[in-house]
Amino acid sequence: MKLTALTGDQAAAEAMRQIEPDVVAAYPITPQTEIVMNFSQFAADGRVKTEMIPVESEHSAMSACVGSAASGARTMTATSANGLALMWEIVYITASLRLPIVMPVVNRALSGPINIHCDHSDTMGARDSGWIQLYSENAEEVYENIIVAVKIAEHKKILLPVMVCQDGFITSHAVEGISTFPDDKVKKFIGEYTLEHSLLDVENPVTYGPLDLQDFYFEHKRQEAEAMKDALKTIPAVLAEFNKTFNKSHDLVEEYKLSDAEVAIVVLSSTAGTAKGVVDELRKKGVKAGLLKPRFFRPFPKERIIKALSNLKAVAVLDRSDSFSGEGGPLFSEVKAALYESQKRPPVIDYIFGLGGRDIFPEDIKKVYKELEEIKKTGRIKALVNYLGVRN
Amino acid sequence: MANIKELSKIPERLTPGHRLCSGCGASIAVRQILMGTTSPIVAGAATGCLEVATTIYPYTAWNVPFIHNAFENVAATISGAETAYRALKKKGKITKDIKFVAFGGDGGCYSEDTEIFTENGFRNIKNIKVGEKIWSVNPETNILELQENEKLHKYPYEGRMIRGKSRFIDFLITPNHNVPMWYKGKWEFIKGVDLLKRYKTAFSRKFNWYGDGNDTLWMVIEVPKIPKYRYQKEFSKFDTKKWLKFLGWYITEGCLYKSKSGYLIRIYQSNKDKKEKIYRLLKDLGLSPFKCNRSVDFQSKQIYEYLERECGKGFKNKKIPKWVLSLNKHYLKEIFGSLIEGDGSITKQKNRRSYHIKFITASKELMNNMVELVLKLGKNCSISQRKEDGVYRIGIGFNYLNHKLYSRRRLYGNKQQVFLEDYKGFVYCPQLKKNHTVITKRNGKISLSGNSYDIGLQSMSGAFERGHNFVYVCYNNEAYENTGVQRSSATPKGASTTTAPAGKASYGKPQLRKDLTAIVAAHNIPYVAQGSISHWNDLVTKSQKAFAVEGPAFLNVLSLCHRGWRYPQEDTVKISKLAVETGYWPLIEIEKGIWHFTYKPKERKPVVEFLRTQGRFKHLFKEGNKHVLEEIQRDIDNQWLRLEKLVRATSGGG
Amino acid sequence: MKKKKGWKEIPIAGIIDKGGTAREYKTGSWRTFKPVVDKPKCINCLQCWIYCPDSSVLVKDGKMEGFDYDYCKGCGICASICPVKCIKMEKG
Repeated sequence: MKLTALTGDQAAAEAMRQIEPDVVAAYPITPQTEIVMNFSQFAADGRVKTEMIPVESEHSAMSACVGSAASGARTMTATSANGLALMWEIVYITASLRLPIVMPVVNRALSGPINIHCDHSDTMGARDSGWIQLYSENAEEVYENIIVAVKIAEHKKILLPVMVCQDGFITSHAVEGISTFPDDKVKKFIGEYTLEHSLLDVENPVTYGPLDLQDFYFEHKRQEAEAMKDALKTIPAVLAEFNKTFNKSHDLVEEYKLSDAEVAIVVLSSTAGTAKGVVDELRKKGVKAGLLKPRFFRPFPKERIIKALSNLKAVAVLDRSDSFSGEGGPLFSEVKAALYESQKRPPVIDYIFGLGGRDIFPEDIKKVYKELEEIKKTGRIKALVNYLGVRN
Repeated sequence: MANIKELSKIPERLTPGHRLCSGCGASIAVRQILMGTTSPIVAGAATGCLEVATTIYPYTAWNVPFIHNAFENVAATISGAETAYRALKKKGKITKDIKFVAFGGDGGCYSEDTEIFTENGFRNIKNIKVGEKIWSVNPETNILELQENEKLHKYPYEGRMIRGKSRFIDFLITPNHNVPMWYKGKWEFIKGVDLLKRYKTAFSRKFNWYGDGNDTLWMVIEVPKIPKYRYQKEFSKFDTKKWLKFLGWYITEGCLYKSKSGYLIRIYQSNKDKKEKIYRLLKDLGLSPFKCNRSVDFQSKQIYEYLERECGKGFKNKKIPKWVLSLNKHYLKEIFGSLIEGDGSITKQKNRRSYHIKFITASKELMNNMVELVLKLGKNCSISQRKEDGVYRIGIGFNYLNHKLYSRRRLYGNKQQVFLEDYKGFVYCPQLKKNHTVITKRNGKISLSGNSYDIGLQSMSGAFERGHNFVYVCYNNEAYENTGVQRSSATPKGASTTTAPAGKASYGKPQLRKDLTAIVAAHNIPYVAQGSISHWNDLVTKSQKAFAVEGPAFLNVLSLCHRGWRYPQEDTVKISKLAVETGYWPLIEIEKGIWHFTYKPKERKPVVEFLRTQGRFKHLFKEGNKHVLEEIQRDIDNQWLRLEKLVRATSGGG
Repeated sequence: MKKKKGWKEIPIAGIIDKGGTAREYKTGSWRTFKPVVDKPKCINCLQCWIYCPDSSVLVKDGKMEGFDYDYCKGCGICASICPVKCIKMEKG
């Protein structure tokens, strides 16, 4: 175990270096650029034998990854925001072709107006694409998530591409102390990649991406849905193996002081870090505060969320993106839908925050907990969907 | 060269049972191309007829590994596969030699009454020919120079145009037209629509001219000798300046008479002072003049023949010799002086310390020569023509050479000079190799004015630039045929497609098709070629070369579609042969930057023979569309000439 | 009509895991006219074979053997380009 000071982007590049994929086809976009830059330098110095394809757009990046992964090469790429938007049609195709591509996505706001800072609108926009989505709180989680993502993607029972998300600039450009694993241990953990039907297997020709008419498309999509269900069942086993090998405690969700909590917030990514500090403070003051941080957004860990939240008195979901349905953000909708199946349904409210990199401070989170305490006392919800940190 | 019997032994890589239309050109192309190598192949295709009809789940006609990704990214996808191949080969996981092939498809002007100043004088813009030299001005130096017209663009236009109208300038141009604006001693270009946004825009009506460089300060004119005639003096040389002065007099006031007594040159002049001037000049030249009642005459067969040849005989035929106009200003001033003294009238302007000169002539050629002379002397003029007798009147001014056009009415009287005008008709634009400025004339006023294969292009261009080792085949059916024959940038001019159909107000696609082969050649990849399914030997040979070469290769193959092109299905091969024989689809290849024809028909058949066979061109044979047929033939001819030039230019060592 | 397979029976990722399965789809049923060759007249130039869009001209050892009527769509290109005109299109 080595302790190094790395930013989130550098941690991602380091993980990629240890994984040493066969092919990387990527196009630069702020704030993902450092990942590609650092990895290209590794390749240029001969530290990795990866073939780099300096493509001319993100659309071509994902297309080249499809060609490469279908040829049996371990392939990776990385992107953010509008880059993800540009490769949108191929993102869906990649999942449908069940190609195990791992893609670090550095979360950045989708344009309109253009903004290069953090929010989750980009990956939330791709939540129906069939990709597995992992959110990382800090640089160390980024590093570890990418390594375990390769194992998850290539698992014979899963075979789905994985997005490993981190907050743009907040995590990607902030230096932290992370402890990395030895190279050989990582290589041993991820093993060799073998593709059952490869384009390069010329003796047994296969056709990738045929035309489906009305008679077969539904069946192919049903298979994809089943794959996501199987992923939810299989991921805990992969995480267990990871934990054993590297002495960690990864899980589908992270529960922080939730066992005896009365009020809690549900939040993804780096904001959870800020919130944990607030939880500690409030606990000292006697407030029974807790925090739930889902690590996997896709597949949605419904059972774990129900288990974690149903005994609470009030829950607030913090969304770093808006789905413009008029009823709150995507995490809120899915948590609410999960709780609908539970016997006990605590009141749940939504706070949309941090769009376009708007900072969220411990004071803001304290306000949320204050509101939750109010709801706990009075049982009345003032507003279901709130906006935290925006000027009126 | 390919041996058909040997080729027939290669196992079929595209099996029958695919659901392409009967008589489809695309499958013939794919079959022939796949015969270009016996190595294992990985193929990719873009969304289109080929992909859709050959891979209907669970049936695939591909007996080779095949991948389809999306509409516009087959080149990127195959780049990925090719890179994975290289990576795994390096690791030793793959040992075979595999070839990769990607099959993809394809995806400001003047009003017609403007005249352009060419080397043959002012001509209506509609009649400007390719190769014709046009008077243009270098935007950096403001020097007049001739530039060749590479192409005349013509488009139908209905809508608003920008009109510039003042005492000295008149133009009617499209809003996107490049207008040269005089700024800090140079010409800068703005768009026509910017003229309206600016309060005032400056135009210089004065241009620079320093001669062709063939003249010196102390020149003499040599007069060609003739066999000795009677006792007349033979002349060989004259002082240039004096000679030019004489020519000016002759052109305006001179006449030639041949009689039993000899060859007479007469300069008419009644004014006593001027007569004396002319007499002195002729004496100085050694011509033995004698004064008459109304003229100054002299005899010389040699000079007679010279003048007849150089300056013309008869008042309608007078002209200034070309070599005179190529001299620098010092000399031009001389001839100008006497020309004006001959047929010009000078009036002193009231309230201004300047002159206005009027020059009258019945000779059109002389009128054009005078304009050239005036412009070269750094002055400008306007022209009108008398209706009764067609006599030209040139008004030469020494003022208002730096002229401004105002886009709004000014405080003290002057009208708005730049405004919008409705226009319906055709607009034209010559395309010059350099400068992009032309001298135009409209309503008599002379001024300087300016003058121009889709969605998968990006991914293909990127793959070529990175140098992946693969073959990209564009199976070119000249439209988005699979989704119902929509127009693409590969669609030829005049073709009717569903999104650019022929109708009462349109003759189909007005634009020329993109020259994709030339665009790809500009990427400097090792092998680029154009092929046709009708010439199977040529195509298979090209395919062999393409697969053999290290690095990217490109084949643009004409693949007929009888559904979209509308012809009987059995004629697919016959019509593709006609495409080659008429020069519509030249069979060329570019190997390492050297262009050559792989097949040249002995004599190109007229392109109408090709157009006639297809329903998509049927409307062109109606009355009113004949000009489109002529244009298409001209375009094919120009393209052929251009290819021949490229072949010549790139041959011999490269 | 063969019963179509369900989602549990087909390979994942929409791939077709064998080459040339189109051979199971007999496009010969599309025909209105079919080509018939007059063998004695044929000079074995093989042009009909190289121009056939459906690989339906059978060739063995450099000799034209006939047509694969399972797949021939009756487009008529072979009859149109045959240099000795030994192929005729007949109903069927």
